[in-house]
Amino acid sequence: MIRAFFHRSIPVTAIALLLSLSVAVVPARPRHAIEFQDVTEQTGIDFKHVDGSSGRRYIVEAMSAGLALFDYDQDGDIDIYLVSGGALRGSQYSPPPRNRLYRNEGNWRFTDVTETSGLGDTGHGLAVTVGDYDNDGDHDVYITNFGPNALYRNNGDGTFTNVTETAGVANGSKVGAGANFLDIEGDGDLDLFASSYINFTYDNHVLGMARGYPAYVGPRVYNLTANTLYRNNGDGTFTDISLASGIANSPGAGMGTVCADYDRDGDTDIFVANDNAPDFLFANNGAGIFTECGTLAGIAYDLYGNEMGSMGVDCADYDNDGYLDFYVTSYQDQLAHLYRNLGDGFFEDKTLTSGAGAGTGGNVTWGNGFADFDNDGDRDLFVAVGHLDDNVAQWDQRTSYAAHNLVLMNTGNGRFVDISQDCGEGLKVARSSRGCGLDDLDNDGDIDIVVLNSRSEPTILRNNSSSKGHWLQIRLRGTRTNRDGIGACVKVVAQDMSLIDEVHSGRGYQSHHGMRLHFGLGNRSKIDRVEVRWIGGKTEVFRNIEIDRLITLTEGDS
Amino acid sequence: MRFILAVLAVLLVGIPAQTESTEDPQFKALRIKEQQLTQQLLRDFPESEQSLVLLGDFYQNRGQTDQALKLWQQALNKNARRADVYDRMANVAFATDDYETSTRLWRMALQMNPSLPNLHNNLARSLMQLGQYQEAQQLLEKEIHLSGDNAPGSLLLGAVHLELGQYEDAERCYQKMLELDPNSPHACYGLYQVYSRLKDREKAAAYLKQFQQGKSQWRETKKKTVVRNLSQADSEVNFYARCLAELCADARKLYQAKGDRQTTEWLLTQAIELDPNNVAHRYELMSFHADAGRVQEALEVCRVIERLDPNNISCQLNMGLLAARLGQFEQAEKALLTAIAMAPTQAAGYRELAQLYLRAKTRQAEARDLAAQAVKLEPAAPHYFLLGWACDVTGDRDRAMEALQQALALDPKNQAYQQVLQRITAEGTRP
Repeated sequence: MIRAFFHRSIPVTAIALLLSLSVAVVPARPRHAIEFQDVTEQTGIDFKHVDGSSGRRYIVEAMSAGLALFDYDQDGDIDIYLVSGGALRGSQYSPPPRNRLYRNEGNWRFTDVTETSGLGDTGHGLAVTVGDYDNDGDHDVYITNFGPNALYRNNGDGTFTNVTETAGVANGSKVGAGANFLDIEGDGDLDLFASSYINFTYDNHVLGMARGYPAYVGPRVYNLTANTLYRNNGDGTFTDISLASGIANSPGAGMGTVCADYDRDGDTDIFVANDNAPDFLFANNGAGIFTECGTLAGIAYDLYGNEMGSMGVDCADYDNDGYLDFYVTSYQDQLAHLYRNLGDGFFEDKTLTSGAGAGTGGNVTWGNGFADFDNDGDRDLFVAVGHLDDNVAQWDQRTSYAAHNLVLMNTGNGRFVDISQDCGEGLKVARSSRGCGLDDLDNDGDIDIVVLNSRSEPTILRNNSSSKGHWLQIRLRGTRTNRDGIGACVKVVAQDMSLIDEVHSGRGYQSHHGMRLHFGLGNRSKIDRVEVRWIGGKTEVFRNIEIDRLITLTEGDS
Repeated sequence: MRFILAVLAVLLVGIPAQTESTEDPQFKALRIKEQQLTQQLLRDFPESEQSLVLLGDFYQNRGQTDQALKLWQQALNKNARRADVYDRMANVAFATDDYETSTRLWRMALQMNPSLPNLHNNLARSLMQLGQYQEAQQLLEKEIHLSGDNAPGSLLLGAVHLELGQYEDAERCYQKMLELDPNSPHACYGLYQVYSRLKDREKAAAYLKQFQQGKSQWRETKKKTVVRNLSQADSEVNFYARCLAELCADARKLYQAKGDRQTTEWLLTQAIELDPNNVAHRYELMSFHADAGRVQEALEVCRVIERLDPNNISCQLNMGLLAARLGQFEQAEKALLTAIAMAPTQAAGYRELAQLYLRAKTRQAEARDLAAQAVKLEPAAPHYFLLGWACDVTGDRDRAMEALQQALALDPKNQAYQQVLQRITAEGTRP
């Protein structure tokens, strides 16, 4: 009897009419407060990423690369470091491709300082992270490659020195992945986490086929590898403590990584997005011993218990409940996933009810980041999109190699809305994007975006949002703890609003951005207090903070 | 006329009328065959939407979704009541994140034919993407209530409840799924999440362990599958040929339905030529020959299948049956004995060999034992009947009657069983 409802007959002509109407009538699109302008051309950035491809389709081609946004010369604005693939076997370049550093000159002009800085690493680059590992007041750079990784010490005069060998952090000759500086035991200096992808070599290379066309194989073809954790010895050298710390007990297929105190117990934990394997959450016991608890915490799989082809990961408190939530991008036909932190050691998959997966199922999603683009007091999402197979259109027209990136606006009630088509021409750029970085490139109080595109020039997106919401940016200066306050948790209380964030080194897809914490305040015109909980240190309360500016909070100055 | 059809084909599906001279000869041959088939289908079935659906499926298999969508839309223009076509189009929309469209199309499909498999689950999935949980829940609950054994539906409903924080309801759904599929890692993971939220640590730990065991096994199987698929990966030309073979095999159903045996046979032969290792196409040709009384040709096809798939019990059974029809007793016996050796716990081999002996009026005692074994393995009405027959011809009337009564108990309306039982009963009462 119940089914009879479905048997109601509809005239054939009426159905045809319905179908044609639904195609013809296009509702007017609303304009949103968030707007991005593509300013790539005016920046003078002439970097073009190469992936080392020569038709052989080595799996490491498609995984390259990330980028870093940081102030390498301490002049107060954010510079751009773009990672390139290298000359893989069978490919030829003259001169050899290298990573490039661009100094921010202001007014959206950048100068290539690769040569003078010495940061032009020529390895097949995958990831980059930044941190002041020697606590000398400037930012050092660690790059993961297919081949030996590289650590560049900032000399403080605009130049860098490759100290990989001395420091002992080359990590053999693996396929590198996300990397992060973190202080694992709160001793005041930064240790180093270096993730690895899979056990690929030229000799075990496998060419995949998709519907008769050559394609990259998935990671399951290869053996998994363990990640690496280095302890900073405090004298410019590091010791591999992967086994002793428990990190090496869990081999995976690492991609993006982020280090954060998910359980608010005062130490920094490690999240690894694994490609076609359950994601890892390494819980720190405070002394630098880690236990993998991703499955236990409900964050390793999707709601149904499926492992994802995870790519990038970022964390932030999207619902302003005081706990860091995680967003993980993934492969085609899988949604990027939002895991809400329940605060009791567990996460719940809120992808569907939050709408955070909108627009992400049709293609491969990579770089990602939370940021309050419209300064309204909640964090929105940016997602970099693009297929890994350049010939995918030949065998799957549902998707494309080049694609538009996504902006998901947080509506403030726990939901996200895909506004990508309605937030300016900057989001109409179609490339095959990989890593991305979110930071305030023009120091105007809103968050801009840099996207690294495979085999192409980057996309620089200027935030031109009409929102006039107030804001605050905070730069931390550790004195007893690590210099940049990496791992420190900051809480901003402004009238009825309480926001948290942490300083992270390494996030998204193999990228680094956002060490200056940004808080959108909406219409709150007064900040009551800012609390900083330093990793390995105390919690301090700072008062009399002005809005709409970048401030530096120094440990011990409260 | 040929030119007009070629133009029509181009307009419909964008197939180039002429191929480039630099094209690989194998590829060119396939493209010509594709054009030929397309033209033929459109010419022979100008009023039927099914030819358009088949062509759409062909392009979708090749990943050419735009062309597939055009063809399916044209099929709907001819017959807007094709639920399966709405379903095809909805799947594409869903895969491209267009959930408004997928929801609309699955709603249409549901109105046209609510019994089409997976429609309710698919529509629910689409509604969930749009945040319309209440309707998704109602849909799934109704479907599960009606079908009773909808494991995917139970999983989906469990997920909806879990996301909405309705833990007791989620628990009920996952438990239901476990009843239907006791080893489901999905259900175990759902229950782990539910009991974690409900702070029932003991149950949570138990289901987590079960989930991890299931996952571990799944991963091993998956790895093997990935490696195997890689080793069997097709070249572009081979994949194209396989898709064309599928099109031929599907198209022949249209010709078979209108009684065009010549084209049916041609298409089956084409399918085999294009995809020579595909035993399914050869089975179709074997059945076609057998139905047409061309038993020798059917047997020859079967011999090829045996070479391609030597461990296939169905092939041996068919060889036995076909050889028997040709009066080749020894060959039939050999094939059926092979079938028994290959699958000693399946009743089919015993049944067919018993029938062979009984029909040939030889080794009747053995036939009786074989029939008894078939009954033991699968106590079905035809097997009891066979046993009754074997007992009858070997003079064991009481056991024959007993077996026939069992057959009738299982299939009371079967007239053949009734007649044989009546005959044996009558013979028993005759002085």
